[in-house]
Amino acid sequence: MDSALVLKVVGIGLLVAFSCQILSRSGRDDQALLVSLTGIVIVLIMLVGKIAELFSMIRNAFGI
Amino acid sequence: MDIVKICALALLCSFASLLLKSIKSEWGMLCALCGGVIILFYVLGSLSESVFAIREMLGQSGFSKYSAVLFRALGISLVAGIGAEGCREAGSAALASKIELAGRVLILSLCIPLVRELVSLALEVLK
Repeated sequence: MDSALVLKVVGIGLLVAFSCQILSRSGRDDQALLVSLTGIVIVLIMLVGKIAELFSMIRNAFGI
Repeated sequence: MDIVKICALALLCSFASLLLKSIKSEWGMLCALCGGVIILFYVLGSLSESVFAIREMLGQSGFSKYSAVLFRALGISLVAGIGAEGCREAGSAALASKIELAGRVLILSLCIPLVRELVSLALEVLK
């Protein structure tokens, strides 16, 4: 799961960039912005959980 | 996870970050952050065993109350380093230097009791 997370993030990023380009070329700028923001929110949701886990692991290991 | 896999993951991540930065610049930071978090997970897994062993050895040699301060300072510097590099990756060098300043101030405030003890010991010896 852990190393597949990078591939998921990159995959979502490429998908979002691609669809944003297509949507802005066909004139639907607001939908492009919406897709872009949705992609960022999805990736942030995936990352924030991992970062919280990492920081709690550091806290336990070093006793902060 | 050995060093080869970590290296490969980091290279893949930096290439993906470069690729996505040219299309949408905010994804570069997300990609780099993601790769960094995963690598740190694996490093910390083996680091916590070493920390435990060092703490045990320090306890046996009689320096046990200083080991807590030492490891807290180490942890603060690690977290501050992660945060500062993440901010720098996103282009905010100002925020990164603020995080580093905060880390230094916190470590200093950790060390003040030790310095006080040292000074009182020195004064006792001088008397």
